[in-house]
Order: sequence, then C-alpha cells, then structure tokens
Amino acid sequence: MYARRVRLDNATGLHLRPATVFMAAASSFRSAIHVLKNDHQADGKSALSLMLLEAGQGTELLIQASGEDEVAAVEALADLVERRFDDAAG
Amino acid sequence: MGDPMVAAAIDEYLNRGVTAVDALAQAGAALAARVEALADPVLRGRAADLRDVCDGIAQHLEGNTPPVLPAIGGVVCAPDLSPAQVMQLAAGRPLAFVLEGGVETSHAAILMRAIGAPAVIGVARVMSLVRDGDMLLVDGTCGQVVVDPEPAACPAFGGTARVASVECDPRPAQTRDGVPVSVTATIAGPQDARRAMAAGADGIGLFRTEWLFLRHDGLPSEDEQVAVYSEIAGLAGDRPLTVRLLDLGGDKRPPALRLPPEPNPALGLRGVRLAFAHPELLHTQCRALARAFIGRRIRLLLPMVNDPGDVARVRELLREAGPGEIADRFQIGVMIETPAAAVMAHELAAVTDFLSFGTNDLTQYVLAADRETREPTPYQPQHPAVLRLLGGAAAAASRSGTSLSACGEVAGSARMAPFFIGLGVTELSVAPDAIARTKELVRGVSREEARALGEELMALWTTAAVDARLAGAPPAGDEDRCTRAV
Repeated sequence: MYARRVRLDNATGLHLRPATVFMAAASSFRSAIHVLKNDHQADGKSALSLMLLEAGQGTELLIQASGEDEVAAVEALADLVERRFDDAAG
Repeated sequence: MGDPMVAAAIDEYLNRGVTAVDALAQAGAALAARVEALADPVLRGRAADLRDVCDGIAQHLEGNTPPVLPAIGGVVCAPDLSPAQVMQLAAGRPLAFVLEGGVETSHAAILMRAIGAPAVIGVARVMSLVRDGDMLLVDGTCGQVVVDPEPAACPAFGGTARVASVECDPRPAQTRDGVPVSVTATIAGPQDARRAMAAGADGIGLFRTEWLFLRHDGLPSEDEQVAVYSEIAGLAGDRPLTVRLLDLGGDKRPPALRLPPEPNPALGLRGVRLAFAHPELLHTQCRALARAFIGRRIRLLLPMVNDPGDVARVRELLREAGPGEIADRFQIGVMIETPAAAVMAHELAAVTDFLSFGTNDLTQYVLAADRETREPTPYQPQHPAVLRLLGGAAAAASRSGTSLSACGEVAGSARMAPFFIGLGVTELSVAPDAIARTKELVRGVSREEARALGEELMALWTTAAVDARLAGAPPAGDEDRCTRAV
C-alpha cells in the first residue's frame, strides 16, 4: 500500500471529464486504486464513482494504491491532479 | 459504459434474476438517482446522460436502433425509426426520409408527414445501396428514390423539400342517396392543420396531440400546449375539432417520461392507461385545452378504452384538473380500437357523446398482427373478422343514436370507405392530402348499396375473398366464400 495526499486545484474539481481522464490514467496500472475524501472512498478506475465523491476545487484528496506498481501509479496520478489534468479537461 | 461501477450495478441486478434490459434500466435508474442527489447542479445534470446511455443500450437489446443525432439539412436514410427518433431528427430539419423497413401506416411515418418532410418507406436494400454523402432525389408523392440523379432531373426539385400543393374541395359531400358525410382531417400539428384547411376539410376529425410530447428536451408546459392548441383552434375556425387525449406508450415513448421497458409495449401502458398512471399529464393537457378553446366545446377522444369504467375514470380526472366548469366543457368520445371496446360499443355509446373507429389498432389487436411490420404478419384491415367486429359495434352503437366516425388509413381508401358509410358512419377522418379525393369518393357511393355490400363482405371467410369481391368479382356463393379468385 502506497499513498499520497494532493489538493484539487483545477476549476471544476472532479467533474465528469477530469474524472474520466483520471480513470483512464488509473486503468493503465495493475494496482487497485482508491481516492479518499475524508471518510468517502471512490474507485479510482470508475469515473462515476469519482464523480460521486463531489470533490470540488480546493478539496484535499488521498490517492492510495496497492499492488505491484503501486508507487508508480500513485505518483503518476498525483502528478496528473497537480498538473490540473493537463487542463485539457477543465 | 466501461465504468466498473456501472458494470457492478448491472451485475447486481442481473444476479437478482432480471433480464438484461431490466437490469440496465434499473441500474441506470439507481445510479442516476445517486447522481441526482448531489449538491452540484452540473454534476446532477449528468444523471440524464447516464439514463440516456442505459436506455439506449436497453433499446438496442430490445432490437430497436440506438438514439440518433439530428442530421442537419440532409436526407435521412435508416433501416427503421421509432417515433421518438423521428422527433429527435426533426431538430436537424431533414429534407427527406428514406426508410428500408417500416410501413406507411406506422406512427413514425405519420410524424414525418406532420413535420412536412417527404418520405419514402419500405425501400428494400436502401442501406446497402446508398452511402454517406450520396446525392438523392426523394419524391414522396410517387414513392421514388433516385441515387445520383441526372442533373437535368433536379431543377424541378432544387435541393429543398417542396411539399406538393393540395387539391381543394370545400363543398360538403353527400352520398348519391343524399346522406351527408363529413370528411375531416387527421392531423398531428399546425402544419397538417393548415394543409387540411387548404384542402377544404370539413373540420379536424382527429388531432393527435402526442407529437408534442415526443421531443427530446422534456415535456411541454401548460403554456406551450396552450400556444399550439390555440393555433390549431384558430386554423379550424368554426369547423368541428376533435382532440385525442395524448396517446403515448407503445412505440410512442417520450424520452422525458422514462417509461420502463415493456416486453409487449402494444399491450402495455398506453393511451388512457398511461394517463391513469400519470394523471398530471391529463390534468395539464385538459387545462391547456380549456384555456386554448375559449368559447367552444372541447371534443375529447379517448384512446385505448376497454369499457365504461375507463370513461368514468377520465371524467373523474377531468374534475380534478381544475375548477368545476372545466369538466362541463368537454364532450367525451371513445376510440373503438380494442376488441373489448368493440364488444362493449353499446355500453360505451350510452356513456359518451361520440365513437370513432380506430382501424389501425383494431386490426392489429383483432388479428394479433403487428401494424408496424409487413409480411409475414397478416395485418389486413379488410379481414372479415375485423369487418364483423366493426359491423357489430356499429349496430350496437346506432341503437343509442351516438354519432360514429372512422379514422385510420382505411377510412379514406377507395375500397374501404364505402364499407364504413354503409355501417352508418357520418364522418371520415383522413390524411389532409386525401380530403378532396375522399369527398369525391363519398359522392359516388350509395349508402344503401354500401350497406348491402358490407353485409356481403362480413359473410365472407377470408381476406382473399373480400379482396376479390372488392375488386369487382360477383357475389360469392356458399361454396366459394373461402378461396375464390378474381
């Protein structure tokens, strides 16, 4: 298990398109990936589940992964969030 | 739909033993409900997308084509279209429709007429003959489609949809033996109504209101309905106008109502049954009619009634719709379109102001033959069983002096209109383009002769025998009621 804390800085937070970008990135790893907001936990490989977190701009998230590529997965996904999903997705 | 959360939800419903279609619908609804509970309005808006995707796939599993995008200003070629799809496509103002399947009596075809788009239906193999971007010449009047037409043939059409002008005959029609028969129009909207009035219709015999409800962006508000109904009432002027209570369900599924998929839609939640399940639809429509039809009685025709109990329930809903005087302004009529209604015609006549034979659906239900498909279903409006049921209902209704009308595609057909006149029908409601032709037809008929011919037809045993007699063969003897040829 590996985890890292990030802050959502993009304008819309985890709306459907950023969530879809996140899901696509998460799905390229073998590890199970979860995103936590306070007590709520979402499946990192499900855009719908991420959307249901209702994580708006400024929300603190914990990205955690467990599996053979857990470190690479968490680092890549945390970077993606910090790069504001490359802005392509708002 | 690759989303694991959606997949898990569908699996969960599948594990409960429901069908794939139901699992999709229920999973879609359950997840959409969660999204709808979110505080963020933008995220809440995604609930509709979720439902659309699940509905689309469910439709596909049921054998229907998935939702379509409007093609802007082009010719739409498709294997077949549902009424809702036609309304979606209408947003792109298509020039014309060409369908491989379907029949011209289908609801989709009726809507194409209503939006004023030329259409040719039942063109075999058109999907394999036409490619995206091909130039097409579509002639809805003679039912012809030309791929890559000679440029010389084109100027007359000019790349736009042109609606042929209608023949006008404003004079009232009566039979050779002096029985007046009013020839009214079956319409689906203002465009049809204008055409009907230009053709000299004696009134609007059947205003199908459901097209208003098949839009993709929600149900029409009371005010929107008032606007449309007022326009129709203005066009009709002082001529009689009969409105049919919205006849949704079956293959006419408004996206906004989110009707659950049914294994047997034609036998399911449609017509008045849907109004009973969603009384607010009836309330709103009737209030809108009362506001739009100021100073006139509102002739309201009820679809899919089985017995007087259904009529009583509608009257009760009318009383709930608004202040007491609203209900008093309505004259209630019933479509005789289920076999039950035909059998109960005497009782229905006793509790209503008028009856109307809805031959399209009655044929489908009597013969257990789908009106939306061609061969091999024996959908034959002239089948002796249909004729006998109509004859019995007409006789039962005439005992109470209730007025009778006929609508549906056969009401205006040269072969079948005399049969209805012979039964005592005093109003034929036909497509706007058929008004002048039907009036001429009425003038050539003698009601007494038509009655005698009707008796003969009802005594025959097969559709083939009816066809032969209508084609001019001499009366059948006892031995050849079944299979005699022309």
